[in-house]
Amino acid sequence: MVCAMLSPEDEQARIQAARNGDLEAFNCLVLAYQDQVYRLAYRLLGDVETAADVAQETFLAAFQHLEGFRQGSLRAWLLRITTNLAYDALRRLRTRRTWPLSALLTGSDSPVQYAGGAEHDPEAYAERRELADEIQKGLATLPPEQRAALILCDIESVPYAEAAHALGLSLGTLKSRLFRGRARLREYFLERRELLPISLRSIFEPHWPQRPTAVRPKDPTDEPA
Amino acid sequence: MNQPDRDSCPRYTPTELARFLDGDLSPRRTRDLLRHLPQCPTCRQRLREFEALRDTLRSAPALRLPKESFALSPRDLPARRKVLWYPFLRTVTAAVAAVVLVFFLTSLLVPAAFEPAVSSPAEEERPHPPAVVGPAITRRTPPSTAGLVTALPAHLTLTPVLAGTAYPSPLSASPHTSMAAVPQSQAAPPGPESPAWPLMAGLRLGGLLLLGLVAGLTWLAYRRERAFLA
Repeated sequence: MVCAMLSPEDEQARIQAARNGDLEAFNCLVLAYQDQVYRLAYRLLGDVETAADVAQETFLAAFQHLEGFRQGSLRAWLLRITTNLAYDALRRLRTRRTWPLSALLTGSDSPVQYAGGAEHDPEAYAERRELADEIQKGLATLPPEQRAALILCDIESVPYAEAAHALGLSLGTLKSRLFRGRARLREYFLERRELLPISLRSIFEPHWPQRPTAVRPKDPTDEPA
Repeated sequence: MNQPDRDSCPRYTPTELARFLDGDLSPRRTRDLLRHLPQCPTCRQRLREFEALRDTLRSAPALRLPKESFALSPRDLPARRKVLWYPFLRTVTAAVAAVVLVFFLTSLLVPAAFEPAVSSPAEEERPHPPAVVGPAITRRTPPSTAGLVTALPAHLTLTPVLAGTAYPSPLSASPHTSMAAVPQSQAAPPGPESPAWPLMAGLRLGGLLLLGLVAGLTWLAYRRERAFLA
């Protein structure tokens, strides 16, 4: 069975076959959603290995409990499982205290890979990586519920209603967490603007040049040439 | 380098500005803000920051998967499909809770059903603890004091609380300290002097504890199933 881009009808057919135990049909669904599941897990946890475990457990649990998915968005259902498993992992990490949680969540020692061709344009890749790491550090300072809302709505661009369903919240509660999370993230970047990479710093330093070699803004007292 | 004083505008919180960007602010508040913005560089700067933050998050670099795929293989699956015990436990605990609740309510509403037989002739021979506080009341007139007692008005049935202790007292033989209380009905609830009282109290307490236990198990089973609900 070739897993092409799934239309809604294809997806329904795969779900039905998977309910009957067709593992190959289920794996087509895995291929369609694994990026989103893993990205959510990683951004919630900040650790590649734990995120990979959570992603794998998500699909294992989904296959075994597919009868629990009745209708609606399969993506929201999968992301809900991912979120719950990630919250469980966060609780275990907090109680176990085998390594500093802050180091875990900043991702500074994680071998996370970003798409975008490190081989073709190493400088651009390095900038992108620096930006992504700063975003991850900022996300790590948020409470998990606000972090999850920001990841789904602002990074993954999941529609609000679907994100609310994925997080098991009412629409009002989701928005409340989202807006408070954005305000909190803004505060985080504001306090650290001198340390931010250039692309992010220019946001919070309105007069900071976009590039280090930018021409000095014209001084109105300069004599015309 | 002059910069707007970032956090000096008291009229609009950063959260409200974030809502405004999303079109989630109330119409009245939105109109107020639109009138306010031309005079407030702080709020304008905040809005720029929120816009830029939103754009930055939207264009966050995509992550590469740490392995080729998370597709499942047959060896990933348990030997047989895991039997979900949560729905079964939920049904059983709900049924047990219903039975216990019915038993408990019945014992409150129809206590006669649980009352040991009273006022049978054989009961006269049983020692019963009379009251010793104030006008002592006994349920049954001892045959020896029948002529000396004053019958209470029929509507006055002293409750076990007023009747005093539940243990036999040396005063039980004294006629002037005991009066007959006309038993109003054989369906009076067992008082402290009744031999059935400790048993009934124990049953009710046990019923409550059991109810609490099954309620807790039902809640636990629901919580475990929560992750997989659509």
